[in-house]
Parts: sequence; C-alpha cells; structure tokens
Amino acid sequence: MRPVETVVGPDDGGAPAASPSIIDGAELFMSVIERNNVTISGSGTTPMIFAHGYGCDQNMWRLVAPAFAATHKIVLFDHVGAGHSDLTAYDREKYSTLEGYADDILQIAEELDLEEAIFVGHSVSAMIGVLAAVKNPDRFSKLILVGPSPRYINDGAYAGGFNRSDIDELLEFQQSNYLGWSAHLAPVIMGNPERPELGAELTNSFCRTDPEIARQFAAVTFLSDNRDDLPKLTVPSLILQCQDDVIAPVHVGEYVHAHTPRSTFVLMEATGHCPQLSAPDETVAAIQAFLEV
Amino acid sequence: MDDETLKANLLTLYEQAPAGYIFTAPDGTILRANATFRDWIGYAHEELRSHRLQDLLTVAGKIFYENQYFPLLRMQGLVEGVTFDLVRRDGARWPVLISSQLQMDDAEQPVMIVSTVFAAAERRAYEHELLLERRRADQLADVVRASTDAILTCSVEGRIQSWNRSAEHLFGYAASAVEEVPLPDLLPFGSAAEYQDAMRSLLSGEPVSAETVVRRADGTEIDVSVSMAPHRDELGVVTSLSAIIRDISERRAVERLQQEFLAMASHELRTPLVLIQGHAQLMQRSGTYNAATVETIIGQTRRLARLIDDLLIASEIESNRFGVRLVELDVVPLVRSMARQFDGVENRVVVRVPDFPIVIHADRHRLEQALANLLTNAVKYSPQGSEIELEIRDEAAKVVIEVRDHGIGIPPDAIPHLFDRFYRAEDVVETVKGAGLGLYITQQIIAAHGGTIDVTSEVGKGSTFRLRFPLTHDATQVEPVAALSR
Repeated sequence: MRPVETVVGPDDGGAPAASPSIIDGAELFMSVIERNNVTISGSGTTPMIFAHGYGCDQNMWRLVAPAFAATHKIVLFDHVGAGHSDLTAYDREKYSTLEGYADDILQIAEELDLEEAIFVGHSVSAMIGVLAAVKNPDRFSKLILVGPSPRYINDGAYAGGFNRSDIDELLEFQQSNYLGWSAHLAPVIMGNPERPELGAELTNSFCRTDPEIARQFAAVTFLSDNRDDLPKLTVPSLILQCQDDVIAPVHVGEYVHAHTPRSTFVLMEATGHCPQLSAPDETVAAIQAFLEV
Repeated sequence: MDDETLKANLLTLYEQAPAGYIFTAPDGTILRANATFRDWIGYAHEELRSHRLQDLLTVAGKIFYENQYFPLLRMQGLVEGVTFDLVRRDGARWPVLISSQLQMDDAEQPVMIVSTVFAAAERRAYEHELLLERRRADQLADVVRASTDAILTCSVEGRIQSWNRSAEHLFGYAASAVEEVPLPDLLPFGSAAEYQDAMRSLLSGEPVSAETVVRRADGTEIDVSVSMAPHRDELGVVTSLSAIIRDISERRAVERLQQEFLAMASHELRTPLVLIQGHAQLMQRSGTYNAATVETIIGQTRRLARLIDDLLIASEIESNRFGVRLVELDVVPLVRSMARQFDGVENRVVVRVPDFPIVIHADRHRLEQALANLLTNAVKYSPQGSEIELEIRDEAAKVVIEVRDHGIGIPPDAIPHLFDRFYRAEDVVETVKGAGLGLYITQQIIAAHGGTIDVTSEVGKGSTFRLRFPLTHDATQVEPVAALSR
C-alpha cells in the first residue's frame, strides 16, 4: 500500500481540515465531523461511507445502512448546506463545483483515518464519490453508484435527459417551492438574512436545506459535466440503475458503465430515482452481492 | 342521516369536492382520482390509470418529486402543501398545491399514497407578485446602498431609523451610533427656529430643500445640500421623513476660490492699465517722446496680454476646449528669445543651451506662455539683482528645460498644491500679487505636450522648475552621426 497522501493542501484548493473561527477572541476549530454532521455506527471494521444526493440528507439511508451495521463501520454525513451540517461552513466559492464536495469526503476519510472504504453515493453523490476516488484512490476499495449521471443536460449525441431550460425552471421552481412549503411566507419574501434557519426549519424536519444553498446545489448538480472523469476511475464500482428513472434514465446508467473501467451494471426492478427508499431490500441485496465478489 | 345516505353523500363530496383526490401505488401509479381532478387534468379515468402522478408534472416538478417529495413522504409519511404545476392533457399548466399521506401495512411496508390537490393559480400569481415586489425592493435598496449621497429615514420626532453607508461616512458616526443621534444634532438647519420651520413644512406635507451644514461626530461641519420629504401612513398622516444629503463642501470651496479669483483678477488687470494710462498721460502732458516711458507702457501691455492669455486658457481648460497644435520645434532659439525678454534691470537671466538644435513636438505660442509664467514667477519671487537661470539639457531621452531662481523659495507644505487652480501659497498671499492661475495653466500646457513639470525648492534659497518633454527628433543623437559622416 502506498503511503497515505495528504489530501488537503494549499495547492489543491480545498479548505483547511479545520477552519478556525474566532468568537469573542477565543479560537475555536470546527472539526470536519461537526461541519458535515458525521455519525458513526456499526460493529464492523470495514468502513462504509453513505453519501446522500441533492435534495435531502443522511436520513435517505435509514432503510439501507442498518443492514450493513453488523458487518461494517457505517459512516453517515450531511453535505455542507444540508441536514444538520454547519451552515456557516458554506462557502459559495468552494461549493460552486462538485470538487468542493469531493474534497469534503476526502477530509472526512482523513479525519476518521478511513482506508479502503466502501463508498455508497446516491445521485449526484455518485459522481462526487467518483471525483474523490479519482483524486485519492487509496481511500476507497469499492464504489456503489446509485442512479449516477455524469451529465444531466443533453449535449449533441449525448442524451442526459434534460435541456438547459428545464434546469432553469427547476431553479425557479425550487424558489417558489420554498414559498409554498413554508406556512409563513416571510422568511423567503423578506430574505431574513439574520435568521436563515427560520426558512430551513419551516421547510421540513428531515430534508432541511437552506433555500439559497439548495438553489446553488441544484445548479451545481444539474449543470456539472463529469463525463471525462469516468475513465479515470481505477476503483471497482457498481452501478445501481432503476427502471423509469426520469433523473437518471437507463441509457445514462449504461453510458456510465461503458465509460467507467472496472464497473458492474445492475438494472434493478425498482422504479424511480430513490431505490434506497422505494426498494430498500433489493438495494441492500444488490450491494451485498457486489461486496461479496 | 343513515349510513347509506352518509356513504352516498361522502361519495358525492369525494367526487365533487373543490379539491382533487388521488390514490396512487407507492411508485406513483394512479389507482383512482376524483371527478374534480379528472376535470382539471383533462384525462378520462381509464387514461389516468396508465400514468404515475409524477408523469403529470413538469420536468422541474418531476425532478423535485423524485429528489425531495418522495423521499420526504417515505420518511415522514406525510408531506404538506408543495407547489407543483400539473401538465394538463392539452399541454396547459395547472398550478396546484399537493399534500400526500403514505399508508403503510402492518409490516410497515408502504401500500398506498393518498394525495389531496388544491388549485393554486391565484396563490401562485400572488406569490409571484410578492417575489417580483421583493426583487424591485432589493433593487431600490441597492440603489440606496450604493448612493454616494447620504440617505436616511427618521421619525417625525427626528429619531433616525435607517441610513446608508454614505451617511455613516458623512456624519462620521459608527453604524451602531447613528440611531442614537437625534436629527437636529446632525442637521441643525442653522438655528432652532429654522429647524422648526423645516419640520413644520414637512409635517404639513411639503418637501424641504436647503443648503446647510451637517455637524459631524468630531464636531466639524460640512457644507451640504439637503432634500427632505415627508412620508404618510394609510390615513394620510405624516409619520416618517427621509433625507437625501449631498456633500457640497468641494463645490463651496471652488465657489469661494472663484470669488477670490475674480477679485484678484480684476485687481491684476487694473494695475497695468493704471500704469499704462499714467505713463501715457505723463507723455501727453509733457508733449515729448520718452523712450523709458514707452518701454514701461510696452512692458505693461505685455503683462496685460499675458494675463488675458492666461484667463483665456483657463477658460478653455474649464470648458474642455483647451488644445495644442504640435509641430516640430527647435526649442533652443525659443528659450534664448524668452531669456532675452526677461533679462532686465530687475534680474539677469543666464541662459545655458546646447549649440545644436533640440527638436520637440510643441505649440510655440503655448510653450512661450508656459515659460513666460515660470519666468514671471522667478522674477516675482526673487530679490532684485539675483540671477535667474534658464537651461536646456537632455536626460534619458527627455528634453529638460529648467528655470532656476535664487528667490524666497516655496514652503514644503505648499508644494503639493502648487499646480492647483487658484492656489496661492499662504506665505505670499498678502505680499505678492497674482491670480493663482500661472502654474495651473503651465502644468496643463506641459501635460498637453505629453510632458511633465516638477519643482524642487528650499525656503530662502530658491526654486527650480523642471519641464520634461519627450524628445521627438533626437538632435543630440543625429548630430554625432552627422559628425562622423563629415
């Protein structure tokens, strides 16, 4: 095994592992663990990192992750801006690309000293995992890509499934939905810069997301193009593809499979975009089968 | 009401309710929808059953359903009041709010989703208006924020309620402290009576404009122009005031300078006229020609002409009409001639120039004017009999013309302002006459030539003004080549 590289440095554009903040003159270091609301469980030693996609938080894995608790060390986290992550750590610059999120995963792995981890990423986090594993393959032994898409927007012969105008509409939609979601329109209408948590709290208890952050995450997710990153992946991967998935259609999953070395493709019975919620048993079985190989 | 009637009534209510009711499988496949919903969406019952609920949404809605709506429903069992657009059979959009409930079986497995759909076109339009209003308000807020004028609002009692950053700068108070300062302390309007007058006008609904002073945190006062406006509540009562305050101290300073200048210029123009008139009358009365008197008259005429030239240039500069006509010009004879003009009884002008042509791009008349200004100053600020030196040198591909005197010199604190319009150094303002235009004009002329002017000076020892011009036709380099070929 090669020595573990330092994944964060002044040259790679990542934020420092612990970002100092000064409150009343006392210097506090916020750990990566708090920043990403990392929770660890399970009685196994092989680490298994579950990464949620756009729109929700680590709760997305609650029907799947427990199935691996007896055999693995389960690492759940929220992307910065989602769930119970530290919203003050949100940096528009850093999170304007998926690399910013990939760097966070590498920082979590470094902080917890995880080696050869199994990474399970849903939707956009499948690509975030690919980016992290390309950057530092030693951290990962296997990747499970649930509903991956390297590019959501149609581009010439490539059919991602969406037009740019669809995404623009989604961003508008996102905004109007925060209006609709909150019984009180005030937080969004008034902007409420001094109480950002108000809008997030009213929105929902599970998929808490700050509206402005959700908007940028949506833009970054749906406008990214990571097709060129697929061939660089050296870690073995499993592509879990659902039927009738409007977000990541079957032919996109096949594209990922065709362009990713050492990848395995499984077309599930499950429909929609969230098999970990709609068909947790089938999802668990597919992952287990792949891990046993 | 017996059970049968209740059942029939409930069924009617279900079908005809002012809301859509949809039963779907956990994957969204529609099992049943009421008449209201079928009517909205335009599909017959059988057609609907081949659709999933998410298939009836816009693309953005589908993404949202998959990424947020369904996960939430699965985890919470309930989602309420989410905005979607249904796409009707005819392609038109139908804004709705959807709430859903997930029904589980005994084994905690999802069996059915029951959704209630409310038409939300009006609400959507209202929300849209609110959003647009918010954007407009944000834009206006940006205008206020970015304004270089101080803008504030206050209560009718003069308690400041909001203010922009320019107000902080103008008043010199920290943001947190502005609120604590009552309006009359910031904007005294001259006197208590005048302040009361202004307030009376405002309370009666009349806007007030005035030029007055602002009293800053450090006690200093700044000239400002103020526009205040009253703002009324729903009942038409004036409940708040706004003020836009512009710092006009610079304009005021210029106005003062202009007034001083006018007085000075009239005096400057009058002096040579009086001398000319006096000498001419003298000769008229004596009836004889006197060479010295004529010399004085000609000298004073020249002085007058130069002053008028300066005024003309200043006015051209002010109205952006100032320009130079540059031609190739040998400055050696020009400098010699200027030296001769100023070489006189009062001061000797020593000239040091090369014995070959030095050619620059210059406007002869303007350049003469610039040199005349510098030489006039040298004479003015030097004791009688002291030497004035005029020299042409070349220095790093530049032509340097230097005017050096051995006069009273310039105090260091005056040097930075020397080339300002109307500026007169304090130490000489009482004793030496001048309009404060000479050096300003000189600098403008030199700049129009692509040149620079600087000064070194020592009080009591004298001053050196140095003009640098780009060398056009490098005579100093041409010469040696020519010499070699000779």
